[in-house]
Amino acid sequence: MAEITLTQVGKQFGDVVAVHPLDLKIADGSFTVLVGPSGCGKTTTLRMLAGLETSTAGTIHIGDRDVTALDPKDRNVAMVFQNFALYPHLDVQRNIGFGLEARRVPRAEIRAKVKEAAELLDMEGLLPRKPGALSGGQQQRVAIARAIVREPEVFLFDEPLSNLDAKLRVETRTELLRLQRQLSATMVYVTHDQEEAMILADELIVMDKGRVQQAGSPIDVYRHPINEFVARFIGSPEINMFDGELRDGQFTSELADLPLPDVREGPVRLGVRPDDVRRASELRDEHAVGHLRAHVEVVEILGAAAVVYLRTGGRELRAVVGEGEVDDIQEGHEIEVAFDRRRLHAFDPATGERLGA
Amino acid sequence: MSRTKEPSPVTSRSVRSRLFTALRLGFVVLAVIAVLVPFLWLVASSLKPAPALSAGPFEPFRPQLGWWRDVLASDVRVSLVRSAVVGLVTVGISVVAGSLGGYAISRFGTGGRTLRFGVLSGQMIPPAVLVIPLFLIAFQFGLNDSLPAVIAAHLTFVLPLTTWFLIGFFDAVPREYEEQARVDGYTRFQAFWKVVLPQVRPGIGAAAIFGFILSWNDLFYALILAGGQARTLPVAIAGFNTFRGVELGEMSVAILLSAVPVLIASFFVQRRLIQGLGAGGLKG
Repeated sequence: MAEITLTQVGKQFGDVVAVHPLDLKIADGSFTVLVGPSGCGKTTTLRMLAGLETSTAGTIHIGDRDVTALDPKDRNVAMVFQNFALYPHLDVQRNIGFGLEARRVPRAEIRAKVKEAAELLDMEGLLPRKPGALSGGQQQRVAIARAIVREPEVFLFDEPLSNLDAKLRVETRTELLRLQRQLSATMVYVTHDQEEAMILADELIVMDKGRVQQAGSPIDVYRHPINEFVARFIGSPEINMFDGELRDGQFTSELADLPLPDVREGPVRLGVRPDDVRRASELRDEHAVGHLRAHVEVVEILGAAAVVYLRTGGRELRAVVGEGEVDDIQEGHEIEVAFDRRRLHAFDPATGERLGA
Repeated sequence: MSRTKEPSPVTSRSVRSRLFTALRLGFVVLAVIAVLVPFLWLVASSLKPAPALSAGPFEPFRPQLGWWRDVLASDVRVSLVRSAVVGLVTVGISVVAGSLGGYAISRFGTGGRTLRFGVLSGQMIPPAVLVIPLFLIAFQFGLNDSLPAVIAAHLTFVLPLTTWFLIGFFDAVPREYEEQARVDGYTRFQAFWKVVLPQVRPGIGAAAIFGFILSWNDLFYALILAGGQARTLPVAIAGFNTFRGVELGEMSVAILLSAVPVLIASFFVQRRLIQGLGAGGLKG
């Protein structure tokens, strides 16, 4: 197991910059998730870690080894691909042991290690089968087992859950976490799914347009998005944003007027997460700001919570309420809502950068 | 009762489908006849005594094995072996070079679109144009009237076809297989050898058989480049057309010797082609 250090690592394809030079430190034994929309450079970054793409700038260290110029085979990393990449012509036993064969591990030892990995993932019965005879979930386990037997310094995952159905995705997600804790392995995981990213990550790295936008713990990133992109990308349903003017600590907009920390004078974009849009009656008075009446258009019950789509002043406002509050919110009625003043986000509408703390 | 007399829609449909089946069956029978009759004719000719050969096809005759004995004792046997050698060597070289080339074109875009689609462009040159330069080159190398000259000539069409044929098979192998292998500790070439090649094996099999048939059937290059001491089977067959006339009996035997392997190979190529096109790799 080892720490990974990327120093000014970048990738250009001809004139196209896929990844701007970036610095990253991935802690030993951490579960780090690179998340962002497609084309943000997350997969390219992962592939540079694996050595499948050569970086056009910077250096990559795994532990204290400089692996920048090494072939993938010499980096001591294991990778799980989105389509699992199980070799169709080999049975599961050989698929899992294939990486050990490359390292000329004795047959008996390969057999023992494969068996051990199969037991860990509860799939001994699958060993004699060919990948074509496995379900998607079973293929996924084989792919993970194949990574585990290698006992690599680093595990790399490229959207490994995207090809599974929803239920299996949730199960595998949990299993992956359990496995990571058990092996205390360094894992780097790429996904475009922000929910998956939040759940899995010790360290969340949000990327867009080939740059790291923000790195931090999921809760930190959620509570203090560094710019408008991160605020919108992380969190579901999407954060509410309104444009307005800030003068003398007072924010004025078409929707609501409310006090804001006096970060600057002029145009400000205010962000309020749906879970910070509350029934006015549910918020303590000292926390409630920006009271407004809104028309309830749609209520989506999720179980423990519900998403309420409100309309006010011609604009949509998304709110998340607890299951206990749902009963007296009826579609077609009006309710009074307010924002939690401790959880407001102000952004510069021109640059998208966060204003104030 | 009028009810039973009325044809129900069900019976009229079954009548129509029966008619359709009959038509299809008739068509298949016609096709089988079209393929089999020439063969039966050849088999009959190879067994007919000399006088019967010039008589009508339906005249009764007393079968005899004289032509078979003559031909099998002659150097047609050697020609058959030569053809097999030429075919096998041509295919061997084509499969090795063609799979490496096809892989490079498929994965690395070697030669760009031009090579990908232009690899067959040599086929547009008529063999008649190529044969004189080939003949002169063979002469320069002292290879005239030898099998290497014929092999070289056959490579001019079998190798491009093999390469072109395999590009599609390599395209169908997901890149992740070899990337996985490379991360797992293999070199690029090992990944190609251990992971990619096994996926295209049906394609290689089909290409090999197809290439062998092309080489086996070639008369033109073999006749001009090795028409003397190193005659291949098609040249030997043509040799039965002598200045005294066509020696039909011997020729029929030689043609059968030449055609039957192709027939068997065609059967396999057909099966493996379908198998190959269906292989396409495991989808996640």
